[in-house]
Amino acid sequence: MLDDNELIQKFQNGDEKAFDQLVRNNLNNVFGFFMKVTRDEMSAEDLTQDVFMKLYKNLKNFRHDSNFSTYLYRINANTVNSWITRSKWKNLLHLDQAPDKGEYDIKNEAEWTKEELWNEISKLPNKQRRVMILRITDSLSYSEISKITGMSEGTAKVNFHHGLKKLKEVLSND
Amino acid sequence: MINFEEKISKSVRVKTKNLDTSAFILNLKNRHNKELKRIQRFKSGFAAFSFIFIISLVTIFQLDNYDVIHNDLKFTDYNDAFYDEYIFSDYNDNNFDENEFTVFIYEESFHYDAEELVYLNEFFIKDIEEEKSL
Repeated sequence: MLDDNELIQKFQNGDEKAFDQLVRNNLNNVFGFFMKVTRDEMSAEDLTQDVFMKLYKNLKNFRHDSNFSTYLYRINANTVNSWITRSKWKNLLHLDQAPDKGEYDIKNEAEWTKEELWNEISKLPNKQRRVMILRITDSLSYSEISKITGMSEGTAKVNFHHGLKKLKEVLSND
Repeated sequence: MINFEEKISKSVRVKTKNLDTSAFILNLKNRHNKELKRIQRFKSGFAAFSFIFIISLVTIFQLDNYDVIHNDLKFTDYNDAFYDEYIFSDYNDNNFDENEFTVFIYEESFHYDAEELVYLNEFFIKDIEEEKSL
C-alpha cells in the first residue's frame, strides 16, 4: 500500500489511478471536517469536491516541501474559511427568519447553540477564525496549526485565546 | 477557559456517514470535464470575437481612407469628353491616343492615389506635346 507522498509522485508522473487512490485514502477525513463546520451533508460534499478539484489541478506542482496532510489541511482551512465568510452574508439576510429560542425544545437546543457558535466564529477576525476552526474541529496542536497557517506557534496560541475569549463573552451572554 | 474549549469542541462533533468513493470520483471527473469544456468554449468564443473585432477595425480603417483617396480626385480637372469618348461612344482607332488611354487605365485601378494620377496625366500630356513638336 503506497502512502500519500508516493501516490502523489505517481500522479505527477501521469498515473491518474494514483489520484483516485489518494481520494479514497482522504475522502472521509475531509468530508468529516466539513460536516463539523457546515452540519449539512450536501454543503459538506460540495466543499469536499471543491478541495479535491483544487488538488487535481495543483498537485502537479506539489514540491514535497511539506507533508501532504499539512497541504491538505491548508486547502481545507482556506475552503471552509471562504464558505464561512459567504454564509455570514447569507445569515445576515436570514436574521428575521430566525425562530425564537423559546420555541425550541431541549432536543433542538444543542443545534441552536451550534448555529450560534458558527455564526459567532464567522464574525471573528480572519486569523482568529482560521486557528479556531482547526483547533476545535480536529483538535490540532499549535505546532500543526502553525505549519498549516504559516503563523508562529506563539501567534497561533494568542489568536486562539483571543478568539475563545470573544466567543465565551458572546455565547455566555445569550 | 479550558472547560469552555472542551465544551465547544464537543458541540461540533457530528456522526458522519462514509461517502461512496466510486460515485464521488466519478462526479469529480465529470465536473472536471465540464470545466475543461467550459474553458475551451470561452477560449473559442474569445478567439472568434477577437478575429471579428480585428477584421472590423481593418475594414473601418480602409473605409475611412476611401474618402481621403477619392475626395482629392477632381473630375472637373479632366475633360468630361475624355471619358465620354471612351465609355459612351464607338471611337475610331485613329483617334485612339495610347497615352491618354494609359492614364485612363491607371485611373480606373485604385492602386494609384489622386496625386500620382494628376502627375501621370501631366507627364503624358507633356510627353505628347514634345513628340508633336519633334
